Amino acid sequence: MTLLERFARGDPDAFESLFRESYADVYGWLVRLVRDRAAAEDLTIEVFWRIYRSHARFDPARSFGAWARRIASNAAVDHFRRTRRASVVRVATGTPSSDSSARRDLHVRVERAYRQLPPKPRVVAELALIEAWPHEEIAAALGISRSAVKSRAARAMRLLREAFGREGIAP
Amino acid sequence: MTHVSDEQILRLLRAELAAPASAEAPADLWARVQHRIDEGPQTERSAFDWILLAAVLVLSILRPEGVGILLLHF
Repeated sequence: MTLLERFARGDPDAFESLFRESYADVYGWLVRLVRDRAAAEDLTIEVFWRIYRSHARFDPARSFGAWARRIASNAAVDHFRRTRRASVVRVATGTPSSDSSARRDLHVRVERAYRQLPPKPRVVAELALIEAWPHEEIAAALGISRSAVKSRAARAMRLLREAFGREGIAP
Repeated sequence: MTHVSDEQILRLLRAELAAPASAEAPADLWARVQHRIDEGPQTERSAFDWILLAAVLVLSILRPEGVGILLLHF
């Protein structure tokens, strides 16, 4: 019996082996999505709890890494739902006194506009708009259709356009 | 309201929010995963749950005859 089959049958040793093989990838994926190492660490624990709980639903003929990445993406979406309001960065008002403060101000405004995105479009925006991944790869990583990726990316862009306008961001 | 084109948005996003550098995973997570498994499910109640509960309570007071129908769902 393979490691994946043993895991699907609930073997705790197989689960520990898979954890040790894959937790660094899951953590790296979460750092990429949530941009916060401490949050990514906590989410990695949560993801492996979900993996442990869902072992019976795992198909050993499929990729464990891809399955874990999809679970991690869902955990990131849940994290954004919980933290969306709290994570809005406050920007000091007034005229910037120097180039560096103007630069800092622009960075904070862009980040604030970005953090206003709803959770699902935000995950797609990270991969499609910032990292410029092909839609097909995003669809595979998130376990959604290409049309869903396209629609979430378009929605993210529309919301960013509005948010950039509200923030008074000019290039 | 300032108008920013899609190309300018992408350029600003990529300049200001560059992808985080690859991070080395902490080494001691297995013990925390085991602890999390021992804890079991953590059910978080959303605002919707509380609103639903309040609505059921109010309906039960206003229409006590409906309680029997609700009990059929358990």
